[in-house]
Amino acid sequence: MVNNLKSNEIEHFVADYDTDNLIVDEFTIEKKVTGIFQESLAIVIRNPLFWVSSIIILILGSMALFPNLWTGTDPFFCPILDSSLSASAAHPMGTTLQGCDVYSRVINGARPSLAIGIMTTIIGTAVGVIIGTLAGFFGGILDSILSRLIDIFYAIPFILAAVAVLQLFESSESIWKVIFTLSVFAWVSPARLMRSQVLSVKQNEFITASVSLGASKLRNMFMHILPNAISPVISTATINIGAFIVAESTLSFLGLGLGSNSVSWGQDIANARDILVTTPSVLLWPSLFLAITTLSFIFLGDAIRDALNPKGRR
Amino acid sequence: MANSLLEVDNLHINFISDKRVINAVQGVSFSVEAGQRVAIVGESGSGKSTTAHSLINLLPGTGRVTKGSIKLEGKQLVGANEKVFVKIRGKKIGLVPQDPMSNLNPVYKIGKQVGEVLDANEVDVDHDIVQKEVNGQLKILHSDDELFLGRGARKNIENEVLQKFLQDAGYNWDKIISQVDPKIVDKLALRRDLVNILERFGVSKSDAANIHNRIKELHVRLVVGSSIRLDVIKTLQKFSLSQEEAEDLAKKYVKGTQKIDRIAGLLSESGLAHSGQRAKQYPHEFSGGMRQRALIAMALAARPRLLIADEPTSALDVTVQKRILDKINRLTSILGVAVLFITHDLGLAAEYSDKIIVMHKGRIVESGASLEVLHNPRHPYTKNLMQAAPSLNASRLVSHSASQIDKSIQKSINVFEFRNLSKEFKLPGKKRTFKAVDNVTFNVPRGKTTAIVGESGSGKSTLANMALGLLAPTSGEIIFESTDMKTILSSKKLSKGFRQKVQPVFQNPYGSLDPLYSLGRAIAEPLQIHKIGDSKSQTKRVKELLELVQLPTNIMNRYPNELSGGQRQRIAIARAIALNSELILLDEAVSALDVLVQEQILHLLNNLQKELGLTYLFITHDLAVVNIVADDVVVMESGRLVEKGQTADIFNNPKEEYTRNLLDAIPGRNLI
Repeated sequence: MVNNLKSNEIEHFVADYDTDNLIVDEFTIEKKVTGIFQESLAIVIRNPLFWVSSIIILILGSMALFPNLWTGTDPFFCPILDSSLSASAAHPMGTTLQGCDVYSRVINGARPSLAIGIMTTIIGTAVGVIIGTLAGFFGGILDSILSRLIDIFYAIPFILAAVAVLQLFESSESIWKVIFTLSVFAWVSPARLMRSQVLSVKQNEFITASVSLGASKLRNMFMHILPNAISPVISTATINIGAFIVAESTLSFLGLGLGSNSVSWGQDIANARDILVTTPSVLLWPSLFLAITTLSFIFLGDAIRDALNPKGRR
Repeated sequence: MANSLLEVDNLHINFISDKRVINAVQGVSFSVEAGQRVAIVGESGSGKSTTAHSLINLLPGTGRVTKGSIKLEGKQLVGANEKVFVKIRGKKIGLVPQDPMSNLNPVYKIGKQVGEVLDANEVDVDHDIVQKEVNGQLKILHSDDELFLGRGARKNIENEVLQKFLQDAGYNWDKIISQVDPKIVDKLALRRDLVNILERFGVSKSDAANIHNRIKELHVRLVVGSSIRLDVIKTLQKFSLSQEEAEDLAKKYVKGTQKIDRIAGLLSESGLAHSGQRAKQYPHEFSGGMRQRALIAMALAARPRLLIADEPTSALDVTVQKRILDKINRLTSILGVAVLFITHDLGLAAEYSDKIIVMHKGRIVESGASLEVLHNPRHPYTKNLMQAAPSLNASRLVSHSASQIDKSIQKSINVFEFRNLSKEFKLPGKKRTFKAVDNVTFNVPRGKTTAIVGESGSGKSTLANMALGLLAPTSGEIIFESTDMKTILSSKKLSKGFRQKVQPVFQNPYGSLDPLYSLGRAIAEPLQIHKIGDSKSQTKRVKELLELVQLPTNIMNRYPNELSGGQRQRIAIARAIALNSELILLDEAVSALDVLVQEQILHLLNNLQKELGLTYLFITHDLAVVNIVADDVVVMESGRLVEKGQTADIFNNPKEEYTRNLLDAIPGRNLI
């Protein structure tokens, strides 16, 4: 070492001290009990995106459940004399080529759209969670088979397959055929997500500890792995509601969804094609409602994701 | 004294998190002289890394310097813009980061990444920057003597030296050279069959072999891209050339090098053998220690004045740790580079620095010359650290009462007996198998602590999993309380009993508790699984257990995210003893904890052993901890049992080389 830095030239400094400052690893009780759920709730409540999207979804929900609160006009009452009117007191959003009231049709279109979006998500997520959990938890041959099955469903072109599946039904007006058709594909991405989640939660030491305690496989799966793995699946499912509403309108737009005798936003967007140049508002209103609904669910899903998995949470 | 290399004065650093201001560093002042080695010691959260990162403006996230000054060679850095720091990083201050695994880009070859440092700092690859002491001051010297040895130059020098050796031995060089195939003449000294060639042309066998050996030795000493003209002259003089001859040769040939050779030279300086080939490899082909060496080469490539080593070895095995730190130490003292060494280990700090700064909660509590602080700590916090540091303590915590052992006399003496235990794994995609555990035999006596020590890859965790019954051995037997493990696991009743009696506590305090379970529920889970008592008696038992691990009983409704690492380990221990277990397998259970917390947990474990007559199987890489908790030690290396015996015997009288290396690697052991 360099000679001018001899250790005796280094000053020995000692700071003042108070011994209270030296207690090691003290448990400080904070005022509130903060479990994971309470904490998530606190985060979600502070998020303005959550409030905006929830209020919009509540309004849309009331349209779907009680359309009569919003309009007294029958969406199927289409006097041909009222064809392609612009906005007026009687028809706040104008009328279609057939003379139907656009406002009434938009309000009444909320029910099938929301029902299809929510029901498809519930069915798809439930099936996906079960398949993904089984594949991830048991691994081995079962995992290989289920994973290949998932890959196969990913590879099928959606529209083409939807056409094929819808052929199986008599042309009924029921929304269930659309829900079923969409559900055939809706389980795939939650299954894949759930599988990878289960695989990563399985690595945790608390799972090994629980096995060492003598806990059964089922107990581990239901009491530890499933609750810890499911939160990202829930937030993506919320976002997916919007995606399924769009998928329904795509099918209706192609003439594959609900029959022409029912009301739905996709149906109305399809019908508006013919008079797009002369009366663009007929296209505008159902499209706007579709976009707002989809966005609201995406925002809600984002808010839920932020609450369930904030950065830095262990 | 003139200006210090680095002067930090009254430094304050804040972080903003959740709208709260956290004062990470509160009024820190210190200085680093040129060429001095300074260590900042502190636990996690003491502000030691934050202080170091502020020097090169690499504070994470919302960190800001709010007050104070940082002067490097008299120039103020607080408030300087990014351009200034870009010039300083690498050229003035080098950084060896903590985690070698994530600090190299996996898509580029090592050599390219070292070359990037040279390019970024516009380093002149022909000259080295050598700092020498002139009148008590370090000065940078620049002259032709700092030219690097090039690849072609080495070959020529070696040929000339060969000529001299032959002439000195009385042979006619010109006569020999005229007979040698002209194609190989200028590479003659590098030929592997040099002995044969020389013999063919009349050199006696012993002379030829002697000359070849000396040439080979010279070849190792002359490092292309790293040896400068001055080194070459000194080396040649060692090979019996006169000073004049050596200087003539060096001046004739040593004229600078190419970038590719400079990169290899840098890597070889930091201790990578075959550095030329290593430079062409990718990071994934390197072990952790090799990566850290590459990072050291990068940090020193631009010849900085100060090297910040931020816990450079905490991710590495102990024996690797020692080699790396020795390397940093030697290299920086040759180059005259000052070192700011950040560590949590007081023993390491004392061994590898001239001056120690102890930080606690953002403040400096004590600083001074290393040995002075170590031998004469004055601040109570430093004293506590000293007391808690396992490497600086020599004796076993006082342990078990005899009465407990008497009580269990009707049971078998050994809880576990491992007999010729082996475990093989199939390597994926290959037909070969890998022996993780190889023919291991030892006993775990009741009421005592048996430690299994080994570095990563020693098979200790595989052994632990077999002891827990989570992995089946390939061959050999595990006897648990006189019953074969196979019998136990095949019977539902026996295996249930086994699961009650043997419990693990794992390393990672953040992974060992289910984040969705309240603490009370987590501790009660074993009772529920084994259906012991109703919910009322279970709650009572949970309270009892919390008292045993010295946590307040009113935390039952709280969740793991509110606890510190040490507190989580207490909960894990409470869970492990809930079923009145006999053996607790502690798999690196205190390795992730700060030294003061670690001490508390070790004391807790020791008290529990005394009160409950527990047996511990203590698995660790840290021999220092073993010394203060274990009665018996089993040393493992690459699956094999190297040595076993009583702790005191192993520590005072190790029989195997490997054990001695492990013991030597305990930092600060020789300083007390």
